[in-house]
Amino acid sequence: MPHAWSYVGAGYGIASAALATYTTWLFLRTRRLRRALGDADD
Amino acid sequence: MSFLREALLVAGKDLRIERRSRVALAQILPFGGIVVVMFAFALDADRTSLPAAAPGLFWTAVFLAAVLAIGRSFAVEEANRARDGLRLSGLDGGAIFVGKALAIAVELFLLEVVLGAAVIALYGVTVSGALVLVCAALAATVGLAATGTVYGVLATGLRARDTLVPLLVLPAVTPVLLGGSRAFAAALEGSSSDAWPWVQLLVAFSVLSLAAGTMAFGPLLEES
Amino acid sequence: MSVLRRYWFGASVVVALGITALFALWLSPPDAEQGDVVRLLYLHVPTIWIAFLGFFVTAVASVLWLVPRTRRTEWDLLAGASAEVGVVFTGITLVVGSIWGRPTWGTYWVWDARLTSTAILFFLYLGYLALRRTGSTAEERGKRCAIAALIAFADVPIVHLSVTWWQTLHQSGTVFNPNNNVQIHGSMAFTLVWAVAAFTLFYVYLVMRRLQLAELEEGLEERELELAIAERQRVEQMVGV
Repeated sequence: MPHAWSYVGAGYGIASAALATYTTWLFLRTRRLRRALGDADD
Repeated sequence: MSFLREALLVAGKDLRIERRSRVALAQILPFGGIVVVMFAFALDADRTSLPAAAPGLFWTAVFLAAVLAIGRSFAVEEANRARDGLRLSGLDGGAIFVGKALAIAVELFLLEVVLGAAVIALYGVTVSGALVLVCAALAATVGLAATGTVYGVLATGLRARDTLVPLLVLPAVTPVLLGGSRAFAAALEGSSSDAWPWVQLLVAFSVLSLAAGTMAFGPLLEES
Repeated sequence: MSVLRRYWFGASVVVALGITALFALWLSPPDAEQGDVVRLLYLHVPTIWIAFLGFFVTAVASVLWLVPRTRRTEWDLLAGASAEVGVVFTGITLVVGSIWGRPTWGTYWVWDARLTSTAILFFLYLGYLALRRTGSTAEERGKRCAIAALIAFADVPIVHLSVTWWQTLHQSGTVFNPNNNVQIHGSMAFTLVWAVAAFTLFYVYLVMRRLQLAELEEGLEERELELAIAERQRVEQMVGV
């Protein structure tokens, strides 16, 4: 099949990008909330 | 009071409100008509493409109008704290559900008759299999109204209700859209026997949604 | 959960996914018919499995919340977290499936039963996620969302059934036989199983993180509410109400 690897690359690329973005968003937002809640404890 | 009488009481109330306010007649029905006309423009209509697409287009127009009808049915409960009145009335939650769904179903069915006539005239459809058409329409309408009523009460009181209800209802009633369109298509092609299986699907869906709504409506109406 | 344990779990997820990629992209052979394009299935199959798992967990958590005896806020938050992860994976399933379809069927989209049902599934739970952002009290939101989740979950098989029926009518012996023509055996089977397991682990990790986030958000809301009330009281005192 011609250009098979382009399709594979596109598929894996998009999936990885989406999951990486979501995971990163989780991390960043958790950190921000922890800070916000931590700060207020004074 | 018996379940049925309570349901009819609620349905009667909603239909009486409609008779006095004429919102469905003056606003929702014309909206449906506009959609029917819009499809002709959007699809660059000629005499061949529209009749073939007519079943699907008809039901799409009905579904869009139904979303408005559902919103309206619950909008009337928001004025004058009517919802509290319903809760305090002592009526059974399931009965209120059946009543509201019934009122929506009646309005929708009448809407379908008018829009159907419009589609026949404007899209050049030749009618056949009238019995199947009516049965399919009845079953579809009940399922649509019941599901819509559940989501209507689910979103009641929320400020985003008008945008939430369409998003919630339309994916959920996909089987009705499929069943209604395929049944109508089969009937209009003259092969009514192919349409009856879809009617069965529509009936099954209606029964399930009525059951689900009867159970869920009461708890959803009660606010915490 | 101690810091060390948390890193351990995340690390093992990364390793598992890494091994998945190793096998999927390199160590497993190309398919006899589909060639290297089959490698996309090592992504597509696990993601749709995770999506269903996620929505199943949402349904179970919703039931647990609805039953008064087992009602806890955590169930409601879990339902939301699992649904969000489920929606992400459903979206990926659709995109990867579409990319897979282009070389195998010749088009990016075909209205076959499974793809269509998956698309409807996507919208059903998008609506659920929208609903989660509404509601005044936690209890009110929990009730609406729990019932919406159960209706959505019950609707999925009905949608799938009707769409399958619909597409069976269209069976004109077309090119589109989108079912598994893939004869999986040997290392391909292993890769697929491993991929499913690795993604399941990943799902658990994501849901745990998302649940943690949801709990923090609840905490923040409560904090803000308390602050607002305290502020109001202070103003009233000053004004001498």
